[in-house]
Amino acid sequence: MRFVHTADNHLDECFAGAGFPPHFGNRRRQSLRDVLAGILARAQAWPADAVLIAGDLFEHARVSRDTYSFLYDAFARTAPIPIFVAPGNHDPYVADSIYAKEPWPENVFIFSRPEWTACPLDTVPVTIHGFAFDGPDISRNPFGTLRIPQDGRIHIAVGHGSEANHRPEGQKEYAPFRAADAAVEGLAYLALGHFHNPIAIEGDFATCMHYSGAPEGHRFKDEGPRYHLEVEVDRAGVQVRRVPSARVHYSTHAIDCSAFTNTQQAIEAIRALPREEAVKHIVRVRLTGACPPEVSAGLAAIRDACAPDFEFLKIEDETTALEDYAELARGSTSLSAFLRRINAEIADAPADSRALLTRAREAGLAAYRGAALAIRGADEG
Amino acid sequence: MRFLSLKLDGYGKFVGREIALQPGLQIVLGPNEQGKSTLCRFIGHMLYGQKRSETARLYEDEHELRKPWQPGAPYGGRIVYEIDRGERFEVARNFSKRDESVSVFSLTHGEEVTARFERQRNREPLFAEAHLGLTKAVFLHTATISYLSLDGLGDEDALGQIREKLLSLADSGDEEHSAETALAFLDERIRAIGRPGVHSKRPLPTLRARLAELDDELRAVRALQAELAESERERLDLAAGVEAFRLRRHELQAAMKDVDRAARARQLAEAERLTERLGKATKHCFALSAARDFPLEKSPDVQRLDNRVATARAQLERTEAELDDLAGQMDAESGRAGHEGLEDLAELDEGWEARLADSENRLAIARKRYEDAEASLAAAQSRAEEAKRQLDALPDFSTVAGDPMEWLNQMASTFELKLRTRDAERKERARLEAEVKKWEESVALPSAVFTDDSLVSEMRARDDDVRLAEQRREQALTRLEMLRATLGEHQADLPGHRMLALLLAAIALGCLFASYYRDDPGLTFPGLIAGLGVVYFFGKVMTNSAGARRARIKIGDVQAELASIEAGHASGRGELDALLGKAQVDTVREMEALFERFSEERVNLDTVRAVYRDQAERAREEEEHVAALFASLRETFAALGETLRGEEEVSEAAMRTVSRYQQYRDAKRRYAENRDQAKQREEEFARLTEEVERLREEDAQCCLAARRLLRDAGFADEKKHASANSAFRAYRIRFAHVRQRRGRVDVLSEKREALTRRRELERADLEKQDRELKKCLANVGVDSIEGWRALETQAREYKETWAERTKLQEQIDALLQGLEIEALRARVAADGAPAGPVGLTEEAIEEELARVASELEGCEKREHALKLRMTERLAGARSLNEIEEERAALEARARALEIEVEAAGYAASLIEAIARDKHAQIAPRLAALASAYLKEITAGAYDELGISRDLRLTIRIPETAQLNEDPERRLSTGTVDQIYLALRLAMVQSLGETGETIPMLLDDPFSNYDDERLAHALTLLMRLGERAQIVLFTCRDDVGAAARKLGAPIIDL
Repeated sequence: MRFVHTADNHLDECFAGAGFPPHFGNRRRQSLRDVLAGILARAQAWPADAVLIAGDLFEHARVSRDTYSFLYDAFARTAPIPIFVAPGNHDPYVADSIYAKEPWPENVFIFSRPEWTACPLDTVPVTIHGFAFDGPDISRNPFGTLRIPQDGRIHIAVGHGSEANHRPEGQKEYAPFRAADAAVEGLAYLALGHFHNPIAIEGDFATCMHYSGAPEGHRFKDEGPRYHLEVEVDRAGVQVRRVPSARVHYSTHAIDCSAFTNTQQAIEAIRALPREEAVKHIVRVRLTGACPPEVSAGLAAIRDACAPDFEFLKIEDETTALEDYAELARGSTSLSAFLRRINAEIADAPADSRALLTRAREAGLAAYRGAALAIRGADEG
Repeated sequence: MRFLSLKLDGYGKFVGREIALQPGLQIVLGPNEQGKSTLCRFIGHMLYGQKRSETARLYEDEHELRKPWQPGAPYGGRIVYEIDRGERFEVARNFSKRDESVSVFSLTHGEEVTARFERQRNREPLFAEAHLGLTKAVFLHTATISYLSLDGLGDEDALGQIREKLLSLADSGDEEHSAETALAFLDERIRAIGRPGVHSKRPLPTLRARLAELDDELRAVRALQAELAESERERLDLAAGVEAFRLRRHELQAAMKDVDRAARARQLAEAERLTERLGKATKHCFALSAARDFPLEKSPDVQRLDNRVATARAQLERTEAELDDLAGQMDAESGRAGHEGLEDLAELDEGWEARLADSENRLAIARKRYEDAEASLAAAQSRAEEAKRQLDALPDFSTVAGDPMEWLNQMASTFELKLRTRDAERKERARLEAEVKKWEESVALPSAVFTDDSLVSEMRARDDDVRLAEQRREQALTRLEMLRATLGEHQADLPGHRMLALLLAAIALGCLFASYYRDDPGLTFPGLIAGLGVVYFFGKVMTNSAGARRARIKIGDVQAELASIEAGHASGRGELDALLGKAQVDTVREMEALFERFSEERVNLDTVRAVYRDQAERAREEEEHVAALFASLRETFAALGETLRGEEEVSEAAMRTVSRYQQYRDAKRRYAENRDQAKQREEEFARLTEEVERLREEDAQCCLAARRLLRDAGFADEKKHASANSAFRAYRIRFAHVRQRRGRVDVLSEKREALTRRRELERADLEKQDRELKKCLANVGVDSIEGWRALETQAREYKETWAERTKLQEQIDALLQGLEIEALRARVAADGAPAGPVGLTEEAIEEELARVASELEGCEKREHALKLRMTERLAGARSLNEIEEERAALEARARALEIEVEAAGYAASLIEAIARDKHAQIAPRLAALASAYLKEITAGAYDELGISRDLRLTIRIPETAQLNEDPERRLSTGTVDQIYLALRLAMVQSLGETGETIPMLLDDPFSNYDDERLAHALTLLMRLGERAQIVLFTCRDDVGAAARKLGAPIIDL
């Protein structure tokens, strides 16, 4: 038995707040479609006996008819390979979901109930078990309730939820479970979705358990390459192989500008960032350190110079002015008095207002010197 | 601090040059391009280095500029200085970037002390700042007074420029940037971004406006999505309907197949039956084949010929009978004419009848008009009598001269005008009375205060005294502060000099005693030297003591003067305040204004009173005039039948009288008209009577002539008629009867001739038709029309049978629809037994199928239309994702801009507050010092320089002895330069925080000085040099000469 395991495609996701410029979201959404189409094409070429999608295939509240049409065509082209979809918290099986109200190709099986449902395959002696979120929060947690019959078939399960020991800090729990509870006897493989990083869950149990992770990143926190899983199951055991699927890699880099004396050095540093040739890159660069005003004032030029090398380049200016504010504060002039006062305020200020005071200090010093100071937000390129 | 020596290893044009510097004022003299500015920069760089950033190794542009001109020379040097507490330091620097170094060596303690000083992040040790208490910027811009600093001064805005330089020095330590320029910079920055809530094209308002548009778009798209969701539900319902209809159609199509099988079986049976009927028809045709070629098409022709023969025969018979009847009628008519006889009556002209009728009509019309004139005459006479009665009943207005209406209206208008005039005069009198009262009330309070007109001038004099006292107090306070400063200086030096005098006296005495007792003349000389020192310091003690004493005395004098001024000021102020309080005003200026108003109001009151008296007299005269006029009117109206009870009734009485006059005038006009009409009617009646008589005579003559003519024409019955007209009508009737009978006999004769011609033609036609019929019968072998008809019947039967056979064949073909009957038999056999009753007829199924197809088509169309509508609604609308992503991106930018505005605003508020405090703090000391320096430079010509809290400059102008805020027009360029030098010198004294004396580097500041003020300025610098080292760089020999006279050392470059 060979099957492809993927999850968390999040088609039609909204990228508001991701720091992208307007209209770039459309490119990202198209890339997510391309990635899914690539996975399905590879499943045909391999060939796989089945495709398992462990939830969050799309964004329920935002999915368009065009996306539904795309899914229909993509799934239909994959026939006769059966596709099993276990809806997750972002694409729950609810009455107005396209899962429920739209027709799907015959090779697609969508789990529709919040309890385990078995679906035996005709071509191979394998049974697929799955469940669906019936709302943004599942009404009952099915993990640990799966009963595997002793029928001589291979049993594989697919579902969406948060494994307690691997949940990222601060992330909300959905259908929480412990791996030991989910690894019921007779279950050969549990295909999981929800966490965007690929995770192999290991423990004192026989069931092979994997989060495939999102096949392509969605935010800067989803750094590096992304995968879908190709799994081979037989009586001897389970073999899992991670196959790179992302067409775009996210990465974040900090570049210390303290030693720079001109923008060319910053541009060369950005151009020299490590990146694979085969994929596109969405890169966030944090410029840090104290740098001369020529560098900090030339951010727009730096961005314009480097942007063609990347799918998208976001430059965050965290540099500090090449000033010794404590030193400048020593003196008898009004400028020194101003810096003494605002230095003290910055030192005592809570974190949320420190940025404002720091900027006020930079503006005040530039004003005293009549020096140019770029206006942040005036032109984002 | 003072500099002791400079050693330039390699710096600009200097290589291996060493310069020793003295305490106090010294002049570095040399022509241009000899390196004066280079020396100046060397000192700055030795103390503070060449880096332009405190945090990184970034160098000033001068780093390259000041590199040694001589190749290979080391780039650096040494400087030795001494701080006020006596410790000496040597600073050695290498400016070369490759092996840059700096070391500070304490010559006093003989040790390297570089590590003792804090270092900046650019690795620069802060020894100079620690020793001077000044940052690099402040030292370079404050202590270094360069030629360029003074360049450009002396124009009209010189003091403004000096103020800006002062502000800049106080605010940022350089000469270019002050808190004011910083605030302007921040304000411009905020304006460039745009203030929140203000509509403009700046980035922030533009972004906010775009965000508002996006919010609207977002709401619209959400509403659209809700609408589309509803449409989607509707579409799904339609899709379910389509599916149901398709299912039903499938069922009906299956039923239709069963029906088709049954129909096929019925089709075969029908085909068999029709084939049998076809065989029978074929046999019958064979039996009638003899008549197959009979020309049935000729039958209508034969029948038509037969009919024509019969018709021609009948017509001939009818014409002959008609001829017989006509002959009978002619005979009868001829008989009746002979019985009555034909009269010989002549025909008369028809004009006579018209003539008689016309004469009769004219007579009748004249009679009618005669009767009407008679009635009209009676009516006119009656109306004239009625008008006479009405005229007699009205008053007689004929006694009034002219137009009574105009006269009455004029009288009423005049009276009304007089009334209005009287009322207006009364109203004006009341208004003036109120105004008099108002003015009387207005002057009531000032009258109590201003009992004497000289009061205000006395108060103005007292106020001037108070102001003068305040001014004198300010001057005394300034002098007191300066005297206290002088006293402090004297007292500060006194203990040291006294101790030194005592110490030297003890040494001198010791030496002299030792010399005397030990007989050692070698000790005498030191004793004498010490004695001289004693004399010197004792002299200093005495001078300082005397100076202190003089200062104390002056302070006492000034304090006494101050007390006297205060006392006088308090007394004058009290009296002034009491008078101001009584007048309820705050200032003398207000008091003066009050008095001016009071004086004006008094004059106004007198004027108004005089006007009021005149007005009261005018009002009384008008009242008397109106009363006299009303009495006269009352009598006049009484004569015309009206009684006046009050002034208000005059207009109405006049209107009533006018109305009555109009009635009188109408009645008089009616009487005259009716009387004239009656006369006209009488004349008309007489004329009509004559005309009737004339017409009657003419009518009688015409009748006689007509009767004579009738008799002449042979109408004997003329006598039987009463009038000529009726006789003429009887004649006309008789003549018409004779003419009718003659015409009837002529018609019958013509008709008989026509019938005879027609009978001959009809006989010929009958013979021709008979010949043609016989010819046709012979063609088919028969000789009678009956034989023809028998043969024709057989031929028709053959044709009908043949046609039936053809029809049967067509029915079979249509039934089988191209199939052979054998094939149909095979298909029916293949269908097998029928499926049983279908339940619905074929028509019912077809009808149901048509209905289902129609419903299905309708549903599909609606679903398609719904899809189209949804697509159309979606067209052009952006997705939620796109809008929210753009909104998030713009919101982030707007937030960043708001932070920029907020930060700039906060920085501005801090800068403004701090600068205000700073300026207020330094202003008094700066003013005192600068005033003293300026007084000395200008030899007392300008002795007071005012500096306000915002560092605005005022100077007391000697000619006016007043502080002038706009003195540029009165100051020469040189004076402005001197003001600036005084202020800069004062700034140096004010900015040092540690108390360390700050050496000053002056670069040719005397370009606009005359000789006298140059001498005074150098004297001042000499005096300041006693406390602080001053190095004056100049290219002017006169400056060098003047300095030499004062004993200042000269360093020639």
